[in-house]
Amino acid sequence: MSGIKSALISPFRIILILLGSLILLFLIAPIAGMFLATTVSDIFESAKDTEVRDSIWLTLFTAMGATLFTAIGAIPLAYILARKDFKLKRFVLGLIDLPIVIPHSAAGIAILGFISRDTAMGKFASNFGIDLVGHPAGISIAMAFVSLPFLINAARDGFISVPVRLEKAALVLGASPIRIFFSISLPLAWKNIVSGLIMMFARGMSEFGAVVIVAYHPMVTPVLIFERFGSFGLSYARPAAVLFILVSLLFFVVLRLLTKTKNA
Amino acid sequence: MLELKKISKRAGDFALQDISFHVSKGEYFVLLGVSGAGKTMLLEIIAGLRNPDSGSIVINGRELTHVKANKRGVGLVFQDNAIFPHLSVEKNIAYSFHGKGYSNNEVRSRVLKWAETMNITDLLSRKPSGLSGGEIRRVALARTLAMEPTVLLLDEPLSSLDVLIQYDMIRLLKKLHEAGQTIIHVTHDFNEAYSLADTLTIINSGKIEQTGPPAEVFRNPASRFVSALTGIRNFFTCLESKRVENLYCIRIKDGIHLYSSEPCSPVASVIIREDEIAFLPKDGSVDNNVFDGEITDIIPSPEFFSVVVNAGINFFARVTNEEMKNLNLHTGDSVRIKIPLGSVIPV
Repeated sequence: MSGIKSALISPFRIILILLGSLILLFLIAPIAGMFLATTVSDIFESAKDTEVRDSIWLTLFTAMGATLFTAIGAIPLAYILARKDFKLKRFVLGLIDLPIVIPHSAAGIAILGFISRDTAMGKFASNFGIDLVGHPAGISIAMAFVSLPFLINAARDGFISVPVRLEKAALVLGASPIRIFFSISLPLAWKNIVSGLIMMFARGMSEFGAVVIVAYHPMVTPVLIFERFGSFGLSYARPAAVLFILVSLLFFVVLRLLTKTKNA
Repeated sequence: MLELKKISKRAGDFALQDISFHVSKGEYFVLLGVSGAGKTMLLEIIAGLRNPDSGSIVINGRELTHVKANKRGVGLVFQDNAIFPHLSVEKNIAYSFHGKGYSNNEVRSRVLKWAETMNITDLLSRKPSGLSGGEIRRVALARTLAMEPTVLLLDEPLSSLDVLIQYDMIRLLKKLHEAGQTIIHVTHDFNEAYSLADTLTIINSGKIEQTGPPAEVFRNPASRFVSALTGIRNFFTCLESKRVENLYCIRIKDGIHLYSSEPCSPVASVIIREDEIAFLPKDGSVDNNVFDGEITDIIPSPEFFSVVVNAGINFFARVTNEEMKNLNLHTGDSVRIKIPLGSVIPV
């Protein structure tokens, strides 16, 4: 008891707590300030604004689409990266992290070059009557590009944490590789994968730089906030920002709760 | 039934070399060796989890060397059990039933059958996380037996279990053996091997050193390694054997000779039972097989003391607690020991 007490009041402990508190304050203060400066009626007002509502729906929808659609390929890729060793593996791992380190406006330029009408991808889409530039599908592509590393890395960590011996045991028990993947590897890595899906979804929702270059219209909420700030100023942009943060928080809390009960 | 022919496998610095043996149907075959001898690797090769560099595996006349692990029908219980932590005990046991076309009732009755054999029926609905080491081992066994393997491979099945549970497990394994299950059991423990094996095969540094019924291996260890593994420490190489009158004089070191009633060919070996070495008073004449030496160590155990006597070469003598009181031996004492003629056994 006395040991714990003396540890608590040691100068080093005090310095740790002080420095840590400063960082926490730095993270909380701007957001708290924004909430405090916004009245409830401002938020309601903003929620009634169809432009704001449409943009929030669009953002949720495109980010969700980007996440679920690319997960079909990203999860198998993560499994390969967790289980197999091959030449250039380090290079591939570096490549996956690339979207995190390059400026997102640059990523947007790259995506635009990839999906505009005169490219193979653009021509393919126009066969279905879609012009990806300025289209929700184009927004999803931009979101996926910048947020995929979060899913791949989390899923890879998840698969690495599954002991290979369990897969070997399943194999000896007569299971095919595909059954082993779905009955052993995937369920045991599920927690990390869900965490990766949520992170990717969140990162996609908050993306501004890459999306604004691919599609100014229709407006996702980060672009809308920027546009309102540019045209009308801070007090006009703030309620939309607060509303967006609230919706995002609600989503993540619900998703976390859902996955928590699933894992328990 | 199972035939291994000249299996070789290199992995880094280690290599299995020319491993050949035959296991008959219903036989309890034990592979004994220290850790790192290649036992687990050999099991993984038989199960199909590793490919040998050369050699072949034939089970019931079917060449299996290049058949995938999930098509071999060989069961392997891993040393760490490898129980699926996210599945209930019941689902673990039923894992191999997938795709066999069993009805729900059939699945249930098969699971029950093996759960009863392993005495774990009350655990079926539990998740593995709360189970004890002994329970987990039983689940692993039940899960593997449920696939009705042609051969059951066991990797150190008694390790990390406490003594009473080890005894239960030995009884279970004997029961399986009596029911006709062919078993290959890998262990580092001689007593465990002795208590279960029909055939004992000793593996050292990737090579088979000796194979035979356990009593025979114990009586006639083929090498210093085997004798050490079986707990025999008085193991000497025969340098020269001469006939002297009606006895044989065996030189085991320059100046040190043992007399035996049986001959020993050079480079063969001779062993001495530890409990047959006697301590003599230091008067009277020096006879054959009587040595003067110094006690360099006394190692107690619950039933006896191991006394190490250096008489130019180390002899290990076993002294009962009762004898110890009378003899009053101490480290550093100079003593005289006698090895009876019949206790010197050329092998």
